[in-house]
Amino acid sequence: MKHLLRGAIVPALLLVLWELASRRGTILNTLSRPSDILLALLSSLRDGSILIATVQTFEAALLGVALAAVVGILVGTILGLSPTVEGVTGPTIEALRPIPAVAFLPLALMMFGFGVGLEASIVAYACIWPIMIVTITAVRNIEPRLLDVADVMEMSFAEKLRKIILPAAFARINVGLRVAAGIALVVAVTTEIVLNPRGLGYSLILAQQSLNVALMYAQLVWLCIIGVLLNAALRALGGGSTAAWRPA
Amino acid sequence: MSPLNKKGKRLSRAQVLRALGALVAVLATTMNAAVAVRGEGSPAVALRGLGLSFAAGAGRRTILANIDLDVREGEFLCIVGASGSGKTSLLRILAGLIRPTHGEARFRGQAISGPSRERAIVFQDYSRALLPWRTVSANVALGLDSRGVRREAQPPIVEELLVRMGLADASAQYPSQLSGGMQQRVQIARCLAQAPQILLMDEPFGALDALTRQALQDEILFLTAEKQITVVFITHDLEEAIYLGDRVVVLGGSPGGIVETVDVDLPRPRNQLTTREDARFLAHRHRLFRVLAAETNIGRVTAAPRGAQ
Repeated sequence: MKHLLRGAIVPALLLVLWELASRRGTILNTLSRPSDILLALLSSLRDGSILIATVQTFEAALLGVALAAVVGILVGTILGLSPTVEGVTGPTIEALRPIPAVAFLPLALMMFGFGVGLEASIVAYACIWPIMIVTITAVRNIEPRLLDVADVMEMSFAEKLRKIILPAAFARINVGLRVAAGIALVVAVTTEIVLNPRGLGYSLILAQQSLNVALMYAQLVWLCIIGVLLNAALRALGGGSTAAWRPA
Repeated sequence: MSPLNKKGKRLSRAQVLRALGALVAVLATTMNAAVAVRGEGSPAVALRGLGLSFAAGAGRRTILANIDLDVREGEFLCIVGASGSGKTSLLRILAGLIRPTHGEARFRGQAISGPSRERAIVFQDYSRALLPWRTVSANVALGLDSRGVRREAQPPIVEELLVRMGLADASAQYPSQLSGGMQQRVQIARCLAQAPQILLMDEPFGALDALTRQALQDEILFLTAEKQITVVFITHDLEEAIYLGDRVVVLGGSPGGIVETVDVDLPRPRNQLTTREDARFLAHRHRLFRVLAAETNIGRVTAAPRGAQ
């Protein structure tokens, strides 16, 4: 609590200075007063428009991450278990991975049209790589002794996967999922700003184009709040599930 | 219609009963003979001309060569040897985790072709052999899964095993919350849950302190004697080998082979104080020490008294 207060000093001071300066006369026409921004944020919360946009963005981001998680964990596990398959597909993966996800926007638009499908597919493309790569490493680094144990217990492959491989890899895969969730929000908003007429990114660009600068800032502040909350939520989720057995 | 005899007469009830009695007697004798054959004649483990080598650079590195060894049913066999003598490799062959490159390894007459829950193995590195995300009882239950015990039937069996191993209070804890000795107990309990016919132990107490080690030695002697499990126990500790074993085999040389076999003629049950003070115990220790010393060149340094110039 103490360090939270200490950390709030700088932003609070900046806000006060900003407010005072803009009351003396307009410094820049791209800068609104903090009080106007707050009012804009409150009114868009009251009429629900910003909440609807948030739901739209999250819908696409979550759908994309979920898709990426399913495919990434599945493929990553196979590649982690079989060096042969990894040897064959590795170069292809390395060639596809560096392509920026948003470069697929025109193609995705042709395939899905405007809407959630367009956005989720781009998010999924961006998120699949960190998840897949983390899964490969996680599966490859499973304690060999545990695999010995699985063999002596005469486990079938499915049993081995369920009882040994996936739980052993879970802690690392979890980190990959958290990274991916962060990427998902960025890519979803980017897609909305560039192309897709929905969600927070689109309202942001709409506010800018209608020269409603205060509303534009209000949405930036809102994105900041959401980002911080999302991060905290993911950290709480990740810590809680494995903390019990993780050595202190 | 009742059965007829040769002359076509009906057999009396007494005759039928007598015939049945004779049949049962014959069956019983045969079965006894079979048990006797299994107990004395055919060994639990039979190794013939066993060797292990693998490609290393241009040539081949040979770990084990020409090992002939029988382990009797119910025997407690200890294998000692310097590090690098191939003890662990030998045990992994018995577990079916690796295949020998020469000769053959048989368990109860069948060639060992892969791992089996009947041949449980207790690893030295207990902290790695336990599933860290499973509680103590869930780890032990894994052994029950392996022999198809239904989920609903598991809790009482797990409970009993945990009580036996002195882990009753730790059942809901995770391995990382336990001491080394407790963790090794969990691993042993899991192996016993497999209901193995042979227990393979790879320096199981090597990393434990002396008191914990002695306690576990006595527990393992008690449990394996009670369930009549055959044990192959690897250690680098001579006294541990003599204390536990019916027989001690010394693995040595390069590549590793059997250089000495000692029959331990100490009475059972063994006792940490009296057994270790027994003259025969000391004689075995003396003999084994000389064999191992010759293998590892240790005698030379210890021979010079301190301060002697």
